[in-house]
Amino acid sequence: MTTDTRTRKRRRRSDWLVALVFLAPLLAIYAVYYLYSIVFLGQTSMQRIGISLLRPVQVGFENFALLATDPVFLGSIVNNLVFAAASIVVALTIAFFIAVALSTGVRGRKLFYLVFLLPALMPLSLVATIFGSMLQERFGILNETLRAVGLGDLAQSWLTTPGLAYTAVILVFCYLIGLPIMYYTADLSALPTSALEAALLDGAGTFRIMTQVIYPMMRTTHITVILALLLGAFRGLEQVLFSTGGGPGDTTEIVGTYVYGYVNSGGKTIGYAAAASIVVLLIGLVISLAQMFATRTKRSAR
Amino acid sequence: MKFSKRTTAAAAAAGAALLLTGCAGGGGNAAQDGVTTINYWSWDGAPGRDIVEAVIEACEAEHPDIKVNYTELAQTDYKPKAAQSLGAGEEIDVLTVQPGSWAMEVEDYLLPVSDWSNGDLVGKFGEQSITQAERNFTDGLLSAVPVYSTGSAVGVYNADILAELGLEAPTTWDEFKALSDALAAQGKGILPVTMPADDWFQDEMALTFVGQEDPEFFNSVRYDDGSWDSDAYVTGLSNYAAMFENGTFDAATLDMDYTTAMTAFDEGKSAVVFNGSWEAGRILTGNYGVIPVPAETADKASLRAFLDVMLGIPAESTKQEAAATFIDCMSTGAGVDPWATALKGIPAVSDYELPEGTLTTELQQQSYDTLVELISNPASDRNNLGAFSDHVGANVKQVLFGTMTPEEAAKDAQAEFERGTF
Repeated sequence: MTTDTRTRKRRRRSDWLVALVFLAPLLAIYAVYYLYSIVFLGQTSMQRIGISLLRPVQVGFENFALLATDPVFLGSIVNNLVFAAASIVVALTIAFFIAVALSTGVRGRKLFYLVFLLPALMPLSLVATIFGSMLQERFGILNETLRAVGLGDLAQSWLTTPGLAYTAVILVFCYLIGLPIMYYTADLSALPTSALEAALLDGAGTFRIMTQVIYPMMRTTHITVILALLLGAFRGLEQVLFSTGGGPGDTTEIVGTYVYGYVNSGGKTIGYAAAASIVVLLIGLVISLAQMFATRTKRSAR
Repeated sequence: MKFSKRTTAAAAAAGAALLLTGCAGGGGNAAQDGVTTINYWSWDGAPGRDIVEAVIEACEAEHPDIKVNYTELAQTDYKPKAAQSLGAGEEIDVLTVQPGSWAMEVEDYLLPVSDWSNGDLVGKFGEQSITQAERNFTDGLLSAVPVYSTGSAVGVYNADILAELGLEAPTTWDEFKALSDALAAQGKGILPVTMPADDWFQDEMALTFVGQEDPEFFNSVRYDDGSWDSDAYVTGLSNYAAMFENGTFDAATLDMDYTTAMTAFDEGKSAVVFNGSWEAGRILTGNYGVIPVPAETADKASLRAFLDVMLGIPAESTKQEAAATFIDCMSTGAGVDPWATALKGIPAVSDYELPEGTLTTELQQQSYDTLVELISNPASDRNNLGAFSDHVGANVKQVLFGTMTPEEAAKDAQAEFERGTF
């Protein structure tokens, strides 16, 4: 072994040590708050146990089997996907358009940013509660307004008619487009201007530049937005809990409200809720892997 | 680095002092100046901070050697937070125990009443209350004492609205229909009834109607091998749905949350509000009266009732004697009046009578008598099963919206009951 090789090895070992020292606090936090939680969740999901965590009864995979046969749980996963899909469509179209429009230096853009970002910065429980109260049949401001302007026939039972309640929840999800606007705004500033200048010199109009130049150039941002919204939908709770409560029936139930109901039950339902959480965790993991795969830098592109 | 002997001694002394003061501060075991401070945990409706403060004042006056620190949690958070706090060794000396499955969930943390320094206080309570309290614990081992009972569902009516229409308080379906028709004819937009549309409360309403058909229904499915998929349940649920179908009740109430339903009534926008008897204190604040949920004939009217609040002592508490004294005061002594006079519930202590001057009108007296009569003679226990009530209540609403039949709801409830998640 030459001296150079030995020196390189020593340096590499030293680099590892330094890296480990810097990473140690984070790894410790990760071990305590994430690994322990996941192990605890996995262990609990195999038990019949209540919130006091006393007297656990080992039930193997029974909780998962019960979940697999519960149409409400399966329906709640579908609802999560639908609500996520709706918010993604809105993000990829309206949020993108707003972000581009605001980046052109339009007058009063700070005010517009505030208007669009504020809902995303407010507590979701507040936003959903306000939506819910606005849509109440008798005393909700929407129906009251319709009646006041002589359009009482259009007043509906927004929260108790399945289709309308479903639409209302979709609106709540879509209303929170501040996050995608932020993503787009941040990445727009990093776009190479040469392509835009070339398009302008070629005589391309604003709409064409937006749809055929900027939009394709922001592929990685689109992917980030899609996956962030998809993951966000599975972490959602307040949007539904404080607007429709998952109703009417189980129409707007999402996994968040489903798990919440069992956690607060007071009985031996914590193992079941943990099993549902594991399933959601696995779905989130699959989405994250998809994100890593979709946004990976190809070897040839390095 | 070397330290001098003096420095070492000073450091050791400081360390010892810190250790000692730390122990004293953290444990809080020793009574200071002869006063023992105890920590009392409850949720916001049992019976609520304003009333609890009056209870504490009364009990501290009666027992000057006890000081009470009160911690109040939101009702929605209480079950998980209190259970986890007990497990984490939080210093809790008096714990409000919610009857139902949660009581059994925390029973291992509680000191059996027979081990309390004043365990004989059990003899001060009515027989029904003790029997119900024992039902909350494994093998009937009493681990908390009853404080008061409530019932559900019950109606509070606005006597002024009824008087304006020239109607008596409705107790039958026909009388209630007459009220709804009269309100519609009046054209002021007053709803005949508001009530929380929350799933759990719709379960309560349906079970109240079922109890009119078969008073034993709920106890049979809760304690024995009765089935939800029964004629009594289907008929009761059908009767409830018929109230909306024939316009006796207005479906506009079916998207109202708890607060909206109560506020609408308080603002005179509805003639009657259905809720639990814990809301009956309103009769002291206005010209309001209490009625049972209407039945086909008045003699069939009933509700389900059960203990609403129990008090226990965590086995880990280091101040069990003071805790037991406070509980005795709150459940049978000077601490009863503050919550009993607010009509939070019917006291579990035997032979309690409201102090003179609590009920100042004939309507209030009549309403209180109605409450006592209903809660003392319930159709079944209101010993609900947490999330299961939400599931059944969601089905009830589907029946009311016409997207499910009562038969389907009954079958689904039984299937869910048998599934094993509760």
